Amino acid sequence: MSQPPDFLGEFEQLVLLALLHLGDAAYAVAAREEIERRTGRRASRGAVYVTLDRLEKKGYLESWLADPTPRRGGRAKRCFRVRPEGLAALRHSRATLQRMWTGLEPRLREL
Amino acid sequence: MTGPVTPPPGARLLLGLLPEDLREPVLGDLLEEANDTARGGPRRARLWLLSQAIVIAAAFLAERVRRGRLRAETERPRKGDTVMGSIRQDLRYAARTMMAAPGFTAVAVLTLALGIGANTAMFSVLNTYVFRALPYPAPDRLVRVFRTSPHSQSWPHSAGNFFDHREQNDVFEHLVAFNPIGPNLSQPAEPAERLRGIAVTADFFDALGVRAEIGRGFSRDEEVSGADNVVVLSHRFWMRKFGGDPNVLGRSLRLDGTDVTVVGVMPPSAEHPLLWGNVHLWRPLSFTPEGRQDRGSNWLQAMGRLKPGVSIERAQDAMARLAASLAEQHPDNRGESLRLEPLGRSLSDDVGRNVMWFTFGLAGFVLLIACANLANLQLARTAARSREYAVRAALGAGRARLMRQSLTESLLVSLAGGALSLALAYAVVTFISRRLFGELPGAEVAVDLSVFGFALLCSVLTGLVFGIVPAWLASRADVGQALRQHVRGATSGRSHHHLRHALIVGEVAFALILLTGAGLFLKGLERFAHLDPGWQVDGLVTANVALQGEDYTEPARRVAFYEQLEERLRILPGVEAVALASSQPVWGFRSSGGVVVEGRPEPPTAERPEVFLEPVSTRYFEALGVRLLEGRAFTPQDTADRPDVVIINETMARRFWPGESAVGKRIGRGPLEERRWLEVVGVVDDMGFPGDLGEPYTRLQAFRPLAATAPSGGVTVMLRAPTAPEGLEAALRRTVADLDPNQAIYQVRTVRSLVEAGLGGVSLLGTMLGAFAALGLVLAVIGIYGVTAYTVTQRTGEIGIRMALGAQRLDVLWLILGRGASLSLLGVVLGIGGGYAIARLLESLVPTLPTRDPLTFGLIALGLTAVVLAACYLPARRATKVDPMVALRYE
Repeated sequence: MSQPPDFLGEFEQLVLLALLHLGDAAYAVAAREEIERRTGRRASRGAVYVTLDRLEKKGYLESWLADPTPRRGGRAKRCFRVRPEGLAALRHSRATLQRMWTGLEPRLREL
Repeated sequence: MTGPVTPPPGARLLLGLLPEDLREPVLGDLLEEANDTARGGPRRARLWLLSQAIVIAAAFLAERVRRGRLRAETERPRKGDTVMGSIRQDLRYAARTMMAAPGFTAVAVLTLALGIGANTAMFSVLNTYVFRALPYPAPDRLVRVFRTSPHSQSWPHSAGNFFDHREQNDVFEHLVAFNPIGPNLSQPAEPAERLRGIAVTADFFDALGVRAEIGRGFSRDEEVSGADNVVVLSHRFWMRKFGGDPNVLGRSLRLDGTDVTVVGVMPPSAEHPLLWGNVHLWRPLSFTPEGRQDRGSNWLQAMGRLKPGVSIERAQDAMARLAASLAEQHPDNRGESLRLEPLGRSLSDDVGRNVMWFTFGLAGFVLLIACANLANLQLARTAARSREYAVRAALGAGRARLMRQSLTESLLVSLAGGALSLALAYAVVTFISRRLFGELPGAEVAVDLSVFGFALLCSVLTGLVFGIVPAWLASRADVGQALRQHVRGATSGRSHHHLRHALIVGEVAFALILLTGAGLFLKGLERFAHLDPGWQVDGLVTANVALQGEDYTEPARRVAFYEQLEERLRILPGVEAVALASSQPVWGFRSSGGVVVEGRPEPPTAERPEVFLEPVSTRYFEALGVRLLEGRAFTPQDTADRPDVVIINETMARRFWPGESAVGKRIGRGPLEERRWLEVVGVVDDMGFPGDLGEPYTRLQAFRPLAATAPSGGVTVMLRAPTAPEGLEAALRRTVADLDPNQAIYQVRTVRSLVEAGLGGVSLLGTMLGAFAALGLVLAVIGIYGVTAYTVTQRTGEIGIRMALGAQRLDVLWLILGRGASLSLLGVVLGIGGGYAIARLLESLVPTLPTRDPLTFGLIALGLTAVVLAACYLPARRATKVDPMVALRYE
């Protein structure tokens, strides 16, 4: 991935940030709860899985299978970790937003 | 939670839409969440899981569409390059094809809507009575408790036993007793009104899991006689009587002459009209200290909430053990045990459930016929479009692609039909609700999410069923063959023919099975309603008179009231005779008990023969038209002076005293030390219960003089008034009001209407069944006509050649009709086999229904054969009118 990272969608950012907050324990269920807990809004499971899948395909995430447990009906758990490319994309997105915000505050106060 | 949740099969299927490496982990995540959070039982958890699988699969589908669009914008691939793209292309193509043949589309969609609609409507009924969970928290923990004996599996309990069960069991969180009541409300300056309610023990609302909207439920202190002057109102009654006044607590109501204080109002969620009937209020079920110990009279219904984690099987074992240990302490309990069943089962009885399943099963045949019709239509179209398929195959469309295209078309049609069917089902269900629940506010057959799901499932399945074979045929498109066939003007391949023939045979057979089932059921119902019940149903007007309050605690006062009532009613204009009893013999008599026969060895209490015991007035048998076979009827002298007399029915006389006269013999009631001997003074015809298709739990009937038993709580009056004169109801009300204005008279109606109401649910299902059968017949006839007509069109060229070569009209007629007729007859033969099986099934489901009816069966088979032959004849006759010149020129 030598091309510059593209701008991340809002939900993509939320998912990546949630994974960073979670650290090693990051999997879809926890990520969704983290987003709901921090933002106070509902996140659909479908959106979380789709976004995780998309971010991994873009190379921003890596994932591996963890051990299955009886609670999960013997199904493996897919854990996710943010790759350096993901971190770069997040930084890039934040910087882009910040550039757009810079200098607006005084004017916003007048509105 | 009772165990780990297992994934529903639909969920796996849906998750198949996800990338492969995500499927298992996602399912694991969902299972983990479903197991972690108690979501009201494993069924609820599985439903939740399924709904989430739908959401997730939809999200991935949307993502694919999005991605496909992105790529299309950047790369401009050929059409149909991506999976999603080609599916969209299929859909677009299918929609265009449907639009291009609006006639075909309309017929197909309508046929399916009728077929699926019949099933969806019937599913809604079953859903209401059988599938849907009760609207209380954790409804799978709510169970009814019945006493069992050799005579019945569903007896009520005595107070002594109930309190032992409540105190000594270790499986119920709450165990409660209840009993329906009908108190008289007599507020000052208002006419007396009869209310409906339930008397309940303390934890009743806790057991249901309902909290009061205002105030509270009942406490255990209020289970004691004298401390029970409190009442809890239903939401509906609170709105009606008090206009929803929030300060209603502490107000008083005059019920049965006693003032009671309102202590609570229950939310609408406490009511469930199908389960409890119309409930205005709840009263505490209270007992005197002696009454609490009583084991002699069994009158309490019981239900409870199981402790979390206790299965009904485990509770059943525990309660049976408890019953056995109680039977050792109390000889009265010997031979008895306890039986548990889910509370939801009380929504319907066995006969009702069986008839519902039967109707549901037959509705399936309507759908099968609809499917066969559509498969036929699709086949014809596939044949007609074989060139199109061949061309597409030649241009490089793969087999799978052609098949998918054809299936997409079928699915699109069936989904449209399914959507329309919902509207149809909704109309039917509204009609049923109105017919069934006219007198039960709040009750309805509802179209809920599961009904919607059922319709969707039906649509997809039918789309697959009627689409898969034509799709397969389409996929075998052979360029050369298709083009050659076209040139020859012949129809389609041999396999098409075989298939079409099989479909005709199937359609006829299904229609016959459907008609037989519906015909035998309706005929049986009609015969049952007009079976001679041993008394004359028509020409009787009936009403219930409540007799409540302090004034009537003395039996003598009650007897005096009844006698005066009878005297005054007899002189009403148009009334020929008057009978008073404790119930109408429409569903069975109100009470029964064990008896012993004088001079015979005495069996233990539970094994004594169970006998209906009905208190009746002196002219009861005359007024109802019951034949006296031996001895005499009751006379005014059978009162306090000579109370120990009884009249029995013929079955009882034959069973106890075979080959000899029963008159003068004696039967005994009660335990040995308090034994009362009753002398048989007369024998009457058996009385049947024409309003109930169920088997009565005993066929032995005994009647006692009303004057000797003086039943409390009220009587039923039955007036023999053949012309049912106008103003009779008003006269009745006036008579009662003259005697005592505090007593309510209610449910004034003809006995015939009671009988019809009793069979109402079943006869309504019969009506539905009849409608299904008519629908099935019409669909089958249309199908057969359509196929024959199509064949004629296809073979016009051939017929022309034959006629040019000298074939006569009759030969041509036979050519077409012969094939149709032989197929139909084969269908009839198969259908007779199936119809016989259906008849046997019906017999085992509703044994009381007279369904052995070879005449009806034969007539149906003959009638169907005639109709089917006519459906073949019309197109065949058209074939004979083919002009050879025109036909050959067409070629």
